[in-house]
Amino acid sequence: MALILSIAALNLYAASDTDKEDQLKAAFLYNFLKFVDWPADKLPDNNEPVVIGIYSGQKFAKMFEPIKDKTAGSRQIIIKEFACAAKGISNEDWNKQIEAFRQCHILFFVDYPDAEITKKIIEALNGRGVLIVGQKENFLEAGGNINFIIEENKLRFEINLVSTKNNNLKIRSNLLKLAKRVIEDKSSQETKG
Amino acid sequence: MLVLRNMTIKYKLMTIVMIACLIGLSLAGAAFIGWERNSLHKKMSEALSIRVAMIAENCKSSLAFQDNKDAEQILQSLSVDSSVIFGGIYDDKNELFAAYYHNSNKVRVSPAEFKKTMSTFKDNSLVISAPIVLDKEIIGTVCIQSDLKDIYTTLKHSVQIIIAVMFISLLAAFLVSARLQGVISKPILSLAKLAKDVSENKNYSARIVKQTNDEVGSLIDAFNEMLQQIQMRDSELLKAQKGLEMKVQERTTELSKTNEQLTTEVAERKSIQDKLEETNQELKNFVYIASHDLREPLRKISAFGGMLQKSLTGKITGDDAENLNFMIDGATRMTQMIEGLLAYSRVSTKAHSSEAVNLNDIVEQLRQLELSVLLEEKHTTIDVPQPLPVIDVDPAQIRQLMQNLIANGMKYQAKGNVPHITITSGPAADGMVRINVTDNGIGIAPEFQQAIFIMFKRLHSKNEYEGTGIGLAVCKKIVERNGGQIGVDSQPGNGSTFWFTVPAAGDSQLLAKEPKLAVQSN
Repeated sequence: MALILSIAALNLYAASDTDKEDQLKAAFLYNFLKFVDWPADKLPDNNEPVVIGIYSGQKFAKMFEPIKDKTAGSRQIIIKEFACAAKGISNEDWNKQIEAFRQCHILFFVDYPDAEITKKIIEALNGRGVLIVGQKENFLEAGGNINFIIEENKLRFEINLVSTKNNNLKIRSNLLKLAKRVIEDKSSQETKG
Repeated sequence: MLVLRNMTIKYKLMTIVMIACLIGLSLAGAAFIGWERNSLHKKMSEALSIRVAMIAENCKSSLAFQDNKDAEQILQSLSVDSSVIFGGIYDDKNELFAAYYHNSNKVRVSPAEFKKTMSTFKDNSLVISAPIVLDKEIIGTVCIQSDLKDIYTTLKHSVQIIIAVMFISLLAAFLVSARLQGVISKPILSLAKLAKDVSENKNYSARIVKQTNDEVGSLIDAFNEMLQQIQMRDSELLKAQKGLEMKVQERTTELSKTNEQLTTEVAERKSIQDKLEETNQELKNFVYIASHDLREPLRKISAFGGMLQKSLTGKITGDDAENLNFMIDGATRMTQMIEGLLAYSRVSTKAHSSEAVNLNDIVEQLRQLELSVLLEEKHTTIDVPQPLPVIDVDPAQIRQLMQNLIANGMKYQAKGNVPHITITSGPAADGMVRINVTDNGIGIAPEFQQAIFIMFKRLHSKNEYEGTGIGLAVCKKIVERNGGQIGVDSQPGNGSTFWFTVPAAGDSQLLAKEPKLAVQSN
């Protein structure tokens, strides 16, 4: 009986540990809203809601519970979840999905589909004012804007300035200085460490 | 203040100037220090507020993305200000997120519980905090603590400078006041000196030269005027004194003159009196000798006249017998007068000797001896209702006095009236006793009551009441010789009371009173 309980507790603990990390990520995503400038046509100055898209992660959307009622400035925050796109998706569905992605201001790749699809999505979103955030190695090289990393057991991030520029987004210096790695141009893709 | 009171005016003035200067400078210095301290505090908190605001701005993202290393780097910028001893960033749960300690000195700072800008001076340090606001939301607090060493160093320098300035100013004030105090103190000092001179030397002709037109100047004017008045009064007083002295001199001479005159007059009077007394004595002697020597031939006349009358009885008739009667009668009367004169003269000439005499005994002896015939003849009673006192007199003279008074009372009676004599006594002034001899006779009119005591003064003709006119004069003489007074209270027809006063014997009052008490107790 005691054994069963302890195993349950262990599981709970493990679960809560990852939950904590995910909650932090949600907070970071929320804070990105304050340090990134979107183009005026993408985010007009008329109190329209901000949309954060979660790509393939029903579980992760729960992590936004603490900030769900928060606002970014005077804007409401809308969390949208997207299912993982399958390989054999019809052209029409694909376009639909891409269109939905384009409505977002931040698109967070929780799960990482295979590199090809990812690359296609990122290319499709190029210049559309969507901050593409991921959490996988070489995500920046794949065209992502911000990538979460774990450094010294702490959640940190890295930034690809080139791709954000292509996406018509401006990263504020406050945020930039916190990045552990910044890709500033195509020739020197690995400068900062 | 007590110290100040006993100073001279010079030092008083200087001290007052110095004290005023010191107080003024101290107040100015204190105000300056206070103002400087406040402005330094203000400046410091302003500077720190800017610093805190900048840090709050810079560390927004660090706090938002939980990057405390970055926050610490931001806080490191505080190291340029050596007065900052602590800088801290607290998260929204008031937990220390990043900290900076000057020279690695760990200073305990209580977690900032404030979410708004505030600055507090406490324990020689300034604590300033500011909220970290991200998108209208407070996500943390920045707090900086700075020690006030710099301020205190600056203030210390200021205080040193102010003290130096005060010292120099006081020195200057001392020098200036030492020179300028003379403007006030000199006239007062000269006034004081003059006043002292005037009071010590009575030199009222001294004056002070007026130098200023202020209150001291008017004081000097008043003083000079006062001196002038005093001088005038002094000279007047001197004049008056001299006049008075002269007058006194005059009066004294006058008085001595008068005195001399008086003295000579008194001397003259004395010599006249001496002569008079001498003459009087001679006269007395003459009277005595004359009357004494006249008695003998007179006695012979009356004795032989009587014998002649007896032998001629029946032999001579008519006018002869009557003439013989006249002659004998005249001789008898002359004898009586000479006896009276002798008695009077004896009272005057005999040496006075007094002793205690019991008046009751005198009256009793008179009743038994000298007056017994007369009393029986006239059926007279002598009444002594109360015992009479013991008196201090010549016994022979008092006997004569009482005899004369009683005989007098029996003599002057209306025809057919039975004489009644009452003798009483009472106290008089100055330890004397008063003796009253009252009769029921014809009385004396008031206008004659003084005259009856003069020798040979008679109110009635010798046919009416026989008498010599000497008796009462002898009485008066006796009373006066014994130091008393004599008088009469009378109204015509109501009898007379002859009274006299004589000295009481030393224990006479006791003797006089004891029987009285005995009578009353019976």
